[in-house]
Amino acid sequence: MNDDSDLRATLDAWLIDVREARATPDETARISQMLSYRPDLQKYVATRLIDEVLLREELQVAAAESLLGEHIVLPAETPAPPRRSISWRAVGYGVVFSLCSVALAWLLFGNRGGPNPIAPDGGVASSDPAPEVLSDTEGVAVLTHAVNVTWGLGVAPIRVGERIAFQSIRIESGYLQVEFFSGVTVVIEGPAEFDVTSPSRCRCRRGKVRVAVPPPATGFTVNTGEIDAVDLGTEFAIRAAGDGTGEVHVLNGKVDMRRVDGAGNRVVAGGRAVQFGAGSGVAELPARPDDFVGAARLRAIKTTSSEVSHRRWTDHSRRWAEDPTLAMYFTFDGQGGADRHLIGKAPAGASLPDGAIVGCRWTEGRFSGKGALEFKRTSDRVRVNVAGEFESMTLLVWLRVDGLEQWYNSLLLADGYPRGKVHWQLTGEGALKLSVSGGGSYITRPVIKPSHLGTWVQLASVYDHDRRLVTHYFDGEAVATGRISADPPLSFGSAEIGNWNPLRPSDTAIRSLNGTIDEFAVFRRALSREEIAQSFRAGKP
Amino acid sequence: MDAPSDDFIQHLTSHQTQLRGLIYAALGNYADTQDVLQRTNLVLWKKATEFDADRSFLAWAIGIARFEVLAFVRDQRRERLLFMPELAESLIVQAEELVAEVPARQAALRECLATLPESHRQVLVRKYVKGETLQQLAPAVGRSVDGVKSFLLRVRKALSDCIERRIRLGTSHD
Repeated sequence: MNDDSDLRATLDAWLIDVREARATPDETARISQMLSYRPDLQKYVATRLIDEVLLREELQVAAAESLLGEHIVLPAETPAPPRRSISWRAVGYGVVFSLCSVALAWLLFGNRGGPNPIAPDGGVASSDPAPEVLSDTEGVAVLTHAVNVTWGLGVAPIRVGERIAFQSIRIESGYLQVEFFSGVTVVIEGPAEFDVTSPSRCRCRRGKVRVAVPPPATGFTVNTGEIDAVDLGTEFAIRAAGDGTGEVHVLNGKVDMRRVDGAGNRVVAGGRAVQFGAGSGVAELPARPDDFVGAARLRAIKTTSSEVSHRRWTDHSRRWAEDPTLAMYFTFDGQGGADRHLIGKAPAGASLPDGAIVGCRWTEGRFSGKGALEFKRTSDRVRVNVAGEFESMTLLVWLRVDGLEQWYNSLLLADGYPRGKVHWQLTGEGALKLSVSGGGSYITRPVIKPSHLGTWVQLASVYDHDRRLVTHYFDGEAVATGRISADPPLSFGSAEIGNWNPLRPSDTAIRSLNGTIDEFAVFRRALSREEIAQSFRAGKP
Repeated sequence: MDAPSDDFIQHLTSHQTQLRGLIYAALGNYADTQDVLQRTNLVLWKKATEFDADRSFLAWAIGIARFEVLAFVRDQRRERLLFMPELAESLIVQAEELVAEVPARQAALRECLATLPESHRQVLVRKYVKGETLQQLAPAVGRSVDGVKSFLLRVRKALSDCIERRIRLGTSHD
């Protein structure tokens, strides 16, 4: 059918030219004649035109929502939608205004998204349409621990588990542990300015770092601006004052200290320390290992800090468990081992569902000592029965996604998909999607990016019936808001966490999650932005 | 005249996209489409009491929209029309078969748009929301007018392939 695909391409190009007033009358006449005896191509043209209407509406809705400040999926430079140009022509049609509902007024006078009252001077920041290169999966190191960290102003925080590639790290206080893929482990103590510059090299202009270098990575270099400290075996530490001065402490093995201006070098032996920078003497001092936090001590600090976070979350989750609008709540806390029965929390006097664990393995959650369930095999799942019908609804989960292998990856899916039932899942692209059978769906742009894999995230979706609005949240912040026409009542009934029971054959029957869940809540009301943000702050690891 | 029921208003508002698509498929001109859709809405509003709640609202509304489209093309000077009245009529017949699947197409499109790089999306917004011409887009995008055109063709093709794929896979299963 080569001829037809050529014809279709011709029609596509013509449809664009028509829009630009670039199609010649001859061309239009020729195409019209051809169309007149080709119903199949008529259908093709009709489809393309309908799709254009849909495209325009989808883009408009997104742009309008960004203007309302409710849709932060699009970046700030997204052009504003056309101003509503009100057509008073319709007044002449003699509509009886007193009968007009707001809806009709909107139908008749609003939504004239035609081209284009503000186009020429719209002031859009120009954007390069060249395809973006996903560099998320690259990296030379990974952040393995972050304890009590205050990030520097204007610097995007890095999350634990995230890969680091050639980037600057600024912290005001706290500790970071960065593990290079070469095997080198660096513990950074703030305030610090630290740049990862290559797999075997980093720069520390300010702050304290302690570097452990295994034999295969010998030669690992820390640059302080004035000097390169080149490892000749095992472990050393640097304190940099930020003004070009500082000290190198060799804890084990040897370090070659080289001036970057080539003016000389000096090998420092284990147990010794040397100052560098302006006015520094040549005297060697004894090294002071206790001044520098290493991986082992960081773990101890972290355990203490994790206990504090765990307690903060426990307080919050106890309060939640008393909320009378809960419909399902699992904290996964205080359970483990061979438990096949997942205990549901409930306010006094209420009966909320427990879960039946199928397959999943117990593991550690966000905090040391907190339980979590791991979903790995395609058969792993937790079966629940969420009773009741809802008008509004909030779904919230803390999870660590390890991969998005399926077309759909289940968070909580009602069995099958009969009318009124709810599906909450991640698409293979990492977008969060809430669907109500018979009422439509609303989906974010991808929120789970490759850099988030293996890290703990909080996802929430709220359906506010009064406003017919779905708001999706990522780590406590709204990332997408849109309308679905869900007609209440919504319900789950028999459902699965982390998997799906399709009830009948389906092309997309396998929707198993690859990841770990350690908190899951369903409320029969729309939680506010502040409530979601608060639960994130209380629950973040 | 009695005020139409909430049900009727709900039907009318929720079927706007389908009606707009239907009319646009026969006219291929957005401003005219908006005019004809307004007229169609007015007729539907006036005839609200004739609407039989047991019948399909969409089928009823399509009949009225078709009538309005044909009246419109008949009254226009031919050189103002993209499609001559006979072809417009054939196109609306084709489009009538397609409108039922519009909600599914829209849901699929939404998902497909979500997979598009932000920069591609920006170009679509400028073209289809702001109505910028290829000429206006070319310098900002750093391509020639023909370059922008082939870029648009490629993105539109990718989107419609994506829609078809999703519809085949049964987005309705969600």
